[in-house]
Amino acid sequence: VLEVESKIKPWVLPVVILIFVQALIIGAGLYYRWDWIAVQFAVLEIASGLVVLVFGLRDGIARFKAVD
Amino acid sequence: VEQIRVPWSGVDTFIFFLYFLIVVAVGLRFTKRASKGMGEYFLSGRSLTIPLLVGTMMASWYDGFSVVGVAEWAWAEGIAAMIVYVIPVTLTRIPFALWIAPLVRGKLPEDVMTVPDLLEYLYDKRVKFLGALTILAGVLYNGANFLVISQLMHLIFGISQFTAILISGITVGIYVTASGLWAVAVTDVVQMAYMTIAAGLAVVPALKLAGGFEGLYASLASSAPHLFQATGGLTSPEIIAWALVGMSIYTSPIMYQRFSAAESAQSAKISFLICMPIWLVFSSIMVLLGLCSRALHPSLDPYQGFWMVVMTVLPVGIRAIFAAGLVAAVMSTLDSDLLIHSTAMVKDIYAGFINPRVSDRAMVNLNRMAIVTLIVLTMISTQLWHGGIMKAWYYVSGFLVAGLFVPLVFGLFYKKKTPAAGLTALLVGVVGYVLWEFVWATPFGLPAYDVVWVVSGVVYLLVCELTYKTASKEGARSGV
Repeated sequence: VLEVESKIKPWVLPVVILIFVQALIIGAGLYYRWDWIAVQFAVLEIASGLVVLVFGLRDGIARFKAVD
Repeated sequence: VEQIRVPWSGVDTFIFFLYFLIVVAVGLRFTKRASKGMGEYFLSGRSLTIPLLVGTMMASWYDGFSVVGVAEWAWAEGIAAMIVYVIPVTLTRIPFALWIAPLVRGKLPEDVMTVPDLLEYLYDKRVKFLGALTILAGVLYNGANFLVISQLMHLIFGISQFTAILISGITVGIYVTASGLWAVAVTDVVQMAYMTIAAGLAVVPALKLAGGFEGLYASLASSAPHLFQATGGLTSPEIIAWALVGMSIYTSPIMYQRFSAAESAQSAKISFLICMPIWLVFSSIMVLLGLCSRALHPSLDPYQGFWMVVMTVLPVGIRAIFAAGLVAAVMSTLDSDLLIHSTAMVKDIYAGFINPRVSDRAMVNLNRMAIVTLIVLTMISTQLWHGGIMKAWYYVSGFLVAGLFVPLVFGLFYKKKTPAAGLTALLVGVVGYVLWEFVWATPFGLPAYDVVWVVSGVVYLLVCELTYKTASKEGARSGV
């Protein structure tokens, strides 16, 4: 069984995303008024999709190499 | 029904088909690994990491209902879709992550791969037989998924329902049957990411197109004020029933398989917990898109309005990926279900009870016949759900919860369980659901969702009390 360890500390990513989201919410809140909810949804979905894509492909590619 | 076409270009078509080519290529790449045995094929060697688990759990959750169905719900009932369905459903899933995910991965043996296997492990072969029959109800829900895909393909390319199903089914069928769960996991990660990112990209422009929340309210509140009521005009028993729909995940064969495939019990738990807020936000976006589609295209059918809004606001290429991601995710779920259902028919029911001496060669042929039969049944069942996929989800998940929730969940935790209790609860659940919902037509205005699984649970505990001593003398298992 292949062990794939994360090189990033588990807490770093959520904190970075949180800061990013908060900054966007404040910025968008000033600009869009209460439509900021949609912006918050958008940022959360795009961020989570990117994180899963990057880390999932990393593990998947490691598995590819293991197959060879 | 008005025949319309959504915004779509040649570039979108190219990306749509390129996406499928890549998916097949990835699947075939894993063929070598998958040929090492059923554990490797079905459970990917029990080595899926958290990002892959999140991707595959998310993608297996994406289907006709979670995308188009939730938007249709919001189109019909408004913000109640959030308050009555999305939020309660998310909450009912928390115990599934906290207790069942680690239990399934940590304590169940590797040969327990399917829900009927789990029922046999917890009880006996009779319960497995009845459980296998019960999960065949999923065929009806798959019919609704077929319908959603064919509606989308028709809106994009103008091709017939049959052609649409054939193209996507063959494509995804190749990689699932050739390479097993590892290929599914890797391609699921891509599907999950594309769909999640596309939903994120669609929500702000869609809302802007509808004039923001103020514009939505202005265009809908006068013609349909119930859209902005917390309960959407539903009765209290109906609200409870919809809130309980989340329990269906406790009977989902695919989720049990994903848990079993995790690299550890902790990974299974954490992955499901990570999925929950992403699901919550995704569903919220679908609710907003449903409202936007009603405001912008009030004369279209809900699904037509939904796709019109999505395809209008998403950029060229991204909309192709969203469409292909949904088709691939649905077809991958359908393929997994086809394998689960054909196994239930041939291995669990036919070889288990009708003809135990059937040869391996005959089993392979019977399995092929079962798959063809199931595809035909699924295509026929599409005709049941032209009123909307939300009905398919509500009735089929209600039936599965009524039949399987108590035997599975109580069986995993209750130490005094007995085969007699499992069998009785399952029988009471499935028969009770059909009688209460369809024959008696929900007496006292109470949907079967509110009643049947509770009755089944009480019966289960009573039968356990009555039969536990006898069963323990006969050597029944006393805990997972």
